[in-house]
Amino acid sequence: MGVEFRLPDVGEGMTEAEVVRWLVKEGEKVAADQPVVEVQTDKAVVELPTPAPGKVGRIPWKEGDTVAVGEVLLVIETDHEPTHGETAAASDVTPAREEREEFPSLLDPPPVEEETLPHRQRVLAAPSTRRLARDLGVEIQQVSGTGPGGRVTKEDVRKVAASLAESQGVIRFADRVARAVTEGFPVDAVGMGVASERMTVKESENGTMNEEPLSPTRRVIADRLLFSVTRKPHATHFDELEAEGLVAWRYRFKGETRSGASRVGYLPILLKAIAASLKRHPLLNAHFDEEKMMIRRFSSIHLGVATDTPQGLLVPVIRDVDRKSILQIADELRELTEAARQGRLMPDQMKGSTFTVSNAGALGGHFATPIINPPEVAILALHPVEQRPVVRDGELAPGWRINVSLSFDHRVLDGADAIRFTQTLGSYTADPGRLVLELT
Amino acid sequence: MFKLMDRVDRQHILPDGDLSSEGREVWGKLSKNRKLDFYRWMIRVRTFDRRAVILQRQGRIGTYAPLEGQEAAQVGSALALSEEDWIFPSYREHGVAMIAGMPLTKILLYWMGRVEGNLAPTGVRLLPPYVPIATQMPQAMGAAWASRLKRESSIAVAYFGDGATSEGDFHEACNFAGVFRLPVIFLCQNNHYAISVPFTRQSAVPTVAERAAAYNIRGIRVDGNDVLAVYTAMEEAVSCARNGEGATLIEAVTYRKGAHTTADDATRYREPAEVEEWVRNRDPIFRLEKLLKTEGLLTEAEIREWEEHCAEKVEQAVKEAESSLAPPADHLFAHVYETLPPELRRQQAELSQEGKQDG
Repeated sequence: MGVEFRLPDVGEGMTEAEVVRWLVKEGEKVAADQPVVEVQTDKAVVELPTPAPGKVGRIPWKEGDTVAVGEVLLVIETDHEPTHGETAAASDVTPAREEREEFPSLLDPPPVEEETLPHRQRVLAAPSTRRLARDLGVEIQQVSGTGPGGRVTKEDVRKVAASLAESQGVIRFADRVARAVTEGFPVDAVGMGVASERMTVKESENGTMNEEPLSPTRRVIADRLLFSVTRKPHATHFDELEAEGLVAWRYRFKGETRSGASRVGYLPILLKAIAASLKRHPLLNAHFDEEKMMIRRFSSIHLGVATDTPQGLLVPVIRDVDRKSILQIADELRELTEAARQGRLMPDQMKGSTFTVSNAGALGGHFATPIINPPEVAILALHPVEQRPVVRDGELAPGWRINVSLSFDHRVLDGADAIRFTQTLGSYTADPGRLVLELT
Repeated sequence: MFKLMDRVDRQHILPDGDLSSEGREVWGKLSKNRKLDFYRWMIRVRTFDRRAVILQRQGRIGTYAPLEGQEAAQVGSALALSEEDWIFPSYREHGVAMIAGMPLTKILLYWMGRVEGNLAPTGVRLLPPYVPIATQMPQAMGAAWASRLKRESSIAVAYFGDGATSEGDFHEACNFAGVFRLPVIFLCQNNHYAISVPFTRQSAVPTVAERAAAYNIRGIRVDGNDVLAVYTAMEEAVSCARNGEGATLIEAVTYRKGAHTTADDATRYREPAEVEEWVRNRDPIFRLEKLLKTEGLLTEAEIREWEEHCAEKVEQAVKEAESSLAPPADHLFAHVYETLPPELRRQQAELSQEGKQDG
């Protein structure tokens, strides 16, 4: 006589559970109430005791299989008629699927649906959070919880929803990286999937190679850049700007201030000059809403400054550059880049830029094709300020020059806009005194 | 984490089974039968509880709220009550229910989702388990008020957990009881967690008992795993209530060894070290068993005999519950409306039609 042990609803209204571990083997004797299997519900891992003493018959499920409530988990062979309660434990429960044969033939095709479904994860989250996830179209299994014990919080769900929305061009990349870096959870917590830190060494046809998955931050960058390059038609304008006045101004300024703390490089004054140029060419100080095909121009100028950090490229933002003094900009720049390198940037410090500057100056190079930071419409790369042979009044002479590379979204800007912009910028680098004209 | 325990107002039987000096005095005044009663009830309660968890895992009862670890708080308090007193339990008070006179079979039926499990036998003044948190408190207060108005000597007691103290009903019941000096006892089994929310996240003050001051009712914090301390605290509260001295808020500091319910996994929110401390070093039955053995009131053979007896009783109740016929499905329509609204009448007709087709 066999007693069928059907998977009971051991949670509250659960429909299925995953077999975690069999505690007995086929043919093994079991005593009354002896635990036979561990199953995992959406809330907990629980041990199920045998419904009757006897010998374990067939075990039709492997560890890792998902079993619907009401299906036969295993059969216990007993030598007596089952009493009430030993029979189908959940006899009043309709099996969720048609009864399957106890031994599926090896020739049967595998149940495709189950094979392709992602492995069911156990997620800890309040029902209201699950509802929110459903409402926002977020799969809760994809969310890494930041609450106690890995609990998924509403905030986690919103972050993932935001990052999903962002891949449609709505929210900035910097937000995600910034949160990840500053709040100390891996970037996959904001929806980038699992990233391993491990590097593995493998042998290949080409000899030994190192295999390493992308770091979480790098993944976000990768994702972000791919979006920009595939969705935004980029065009890049290169220009060489005269920088005599810029160099002279800095030289003079260095002579006047002796304290190291207020040492000012080229970047602060360049940022100020860029802000002044943007004032004159507001088309570049804008966002482009891909969904609505809408250009949003801004009256304030918030400059993102792409910064090389150990975590990868981060873009802290200096707000209201047009309304700040060069010394203020210098101080703020120093604080922000320091914070970025130490991974202390707050999300707010990486939000809301209207135009991005990539400062390649320290590293060298003359040309680049920077990739626009969406939803912005242009990005400017600054190359080193250096002395070059120039022709002045028909004579070859040394002169200070700076190269710039301006990439722009060709849907909303044209080459002429780009050229006009760099020409304006060039007028400031040639003679920073012109900035005085912009004083308000 | 364990500091809370060091500040109980009353502890008679220490965790290792020794008596405190005050405890020795109280213990000396008890009859041998009463001493053994504590023990017998606690074993019966635990046996039932463990069996119920297994039944749930086998799919033979529905969701169940285990109480193991809280036996002393329930047994000690319930044994201080009289038959005439009204008991308003939460969903974890199976031990209290048994002592009040609820048959084990009925308790099982309740967890099988059977309506009969709600109804106490005649003469047993036990309300059905209150699942919504703290709603039983104003009702117990109301029952106490009724008793006063009717000039009866009965009192009312509400059982609840620490989670209930975060509810508005807690305040309303305590406040009313304080203002009108009602013969009611609020017995809080503080097991430290409202499902997964630790007490520190529910209350800015460290204890439940000190809130009594706000209502001008008595508040006492006892070691809830010390059956004798709980019993004497409850006895005092009962005698105050009967003598017109008003309400008492008792905080029995305890710990549930298992999960909140069979649908919960407590390992996700409790530290293993904390659980281990309570399970190993503060068990309510261990200390009493040791004391009784030391006093020569209990032998190993008697323990085994009693455990077997309890297991048999529980098994008998399981058989009875499983063999008792379920009421027909249309009893669902019988318990809410005196006169069924048309929509429900239509559903009832539909159901009976289906029944005929199936038959």
